[in-house]
Amino acid sequence: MKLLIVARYTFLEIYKSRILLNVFLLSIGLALVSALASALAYGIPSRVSLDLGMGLSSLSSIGIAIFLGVGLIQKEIEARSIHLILSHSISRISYLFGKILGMLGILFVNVLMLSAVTLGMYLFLGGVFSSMILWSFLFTFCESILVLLLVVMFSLVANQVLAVLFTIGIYACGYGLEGIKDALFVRLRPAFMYALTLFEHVIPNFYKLNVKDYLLYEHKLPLGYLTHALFYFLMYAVLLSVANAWIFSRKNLD
Amino acid sequence: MMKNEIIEISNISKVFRTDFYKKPFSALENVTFSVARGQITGFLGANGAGKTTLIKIIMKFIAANSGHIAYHLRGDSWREICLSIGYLPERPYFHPHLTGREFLEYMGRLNEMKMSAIVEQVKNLSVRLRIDHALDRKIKSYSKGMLQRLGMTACLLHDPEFLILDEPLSGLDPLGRKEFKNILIEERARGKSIFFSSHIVPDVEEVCQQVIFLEKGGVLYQGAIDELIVQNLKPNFWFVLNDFDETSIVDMQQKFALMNLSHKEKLTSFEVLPDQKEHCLKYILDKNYSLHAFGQVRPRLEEIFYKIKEEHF
Ligand SMILES: Nc1ncnc2c1ncn2[C@@H]1O[C@H](COP(=O)(O)OP(=O)(O)OP(=O)(O)O)[C@@H](O)[C@H]1O
Ligand SMILES: [Mg+2]
Repeated sequence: MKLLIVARYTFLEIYKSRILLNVFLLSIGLALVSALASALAYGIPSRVSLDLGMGLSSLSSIGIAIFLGVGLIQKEIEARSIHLILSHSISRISYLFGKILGMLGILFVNVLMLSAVTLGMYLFLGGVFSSMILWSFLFTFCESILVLLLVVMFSLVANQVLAVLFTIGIYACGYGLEGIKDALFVRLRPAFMYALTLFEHVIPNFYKLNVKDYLLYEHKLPLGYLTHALFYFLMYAVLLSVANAWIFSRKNLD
Repeated sequence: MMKNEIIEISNISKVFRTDFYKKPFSALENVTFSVARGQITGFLGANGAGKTTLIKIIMKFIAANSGHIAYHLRGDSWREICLSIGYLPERPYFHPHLTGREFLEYMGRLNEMKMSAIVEQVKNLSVRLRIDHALDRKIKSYSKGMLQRLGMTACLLHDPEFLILDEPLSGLDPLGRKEFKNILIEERARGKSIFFSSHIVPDVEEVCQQVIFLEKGGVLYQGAIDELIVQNLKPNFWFVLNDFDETSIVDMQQKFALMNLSHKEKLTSFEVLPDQKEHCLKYILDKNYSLHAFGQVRPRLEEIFYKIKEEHF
């Protein structure tokens, strides 16, 4: 499959740009910091390190998704290296998803490395293993996939700066939705509530994918909620992929 | 039956809209021509004439506003057509973090080549294009000429039947230009059809059989270079004389209209109109001047283009 060839070389290229070296250094740093923090901070040491580790993996994968994702296709268009690739016998769609898949590989390695370090530290500091930890990492990965698809989509229609701003904006809104709905101000105004619900159907609700808080306070989540969230993610991923494909196949590449 | 044309471009127009408040800019207007199979066709035009734009339309990177392109290549689907085209972009710029070899493997695999075939081809081509020494270095360390050589290697890798090259000779040193021209000639001898853009007329004259002359988005001339030259042959005659002194020159100027008179060390050269050539030769022989050489003037393609351009505007 040509898509896989593109994915492979995209991964290779980003890998060779030494981004993963940074991730590696980050995970070592994480191990040190969480060891230090758990010794100094109040609270159960294993929990502090878990909190820190998850926060950092989420932040770094979102960061990588946004800042590498924005140039993933756009940079190739600007440098016109895309012309040479597309002069080969590969469809635009295979090329697009090959690039995205390659980038997902990088994100996956990032989440995997940071998760392993986090989990290791957690267990080392005496934490008890719970399957929720794995779910949490899975959702971190899912979240970065959505962010990547978003930023790629925006980069195809706007310039890089705007694409980054839009993506961060949507991410922040997606996170905030849940909180806003709870606000008294909103609850007293049905019209507002209605608008927000409408909004919710357009913007991915990233809060749904965040199970960290449950994990930290040892609330068990029913499996139903988790699979529901997973479906929610899949739906958005498919939707954004279709949008990306639609835009890219019509784009003028000059 | 195989057609004589490998690609036929009919009535292609392209309008660019840069900003909505600016007037749309028409880069190509009703461009129609065809590229002959098995020959080297030069695509000439000044900067901004629309050469790259047309090549992008041929490669489907951008869409034309109107017109049609027929590809007479192996296969009908775009996938198969791509397999028989080798394309060299105007500004070769590839993935900076890959090495040259990795990049070539990438390109070969996209074109459905087996790894063993890729290795074999890379070995041969890289030596031929003198890039073999740098194949294991990252592309970002390449110079412009090296990029051009790598791009050409990628272009020939899958042994396509049709080469589309956007200014293949730019960025090369004189020796490199010579090498690239030889490669074009060799590839034609191996049965390929080649279409390449350039704004350097002598380069085109040197290697091409056919020429398409684009000016401000329209085709001014298309056809065989030989025909063009025959049509425009102004058969002036040139003479070169040895030790030709000042008084004899004045003498001769009274009898004949001497054109392009010039002196270089002991040699004096000039041209006369075709109907005066016998007369002039006889005069020189009678006077016992020392004749060094003489012959018929063959106009350079460049001059013909200036002429066509003047007639057109
Ligand atoms: N994306 C674009 N938007 C607006 N105008 C464009 C665009 N691309 C090309 N043009 C215009 O179209 C014209 C033709 O450009 P093109 O690049 O095809 O020229 P060219 O013949 O390849 O020139 P050169 O010899 O310099 O490479 C130019 O006037 C250029 O400004
Ligand atoms: Mg050009």
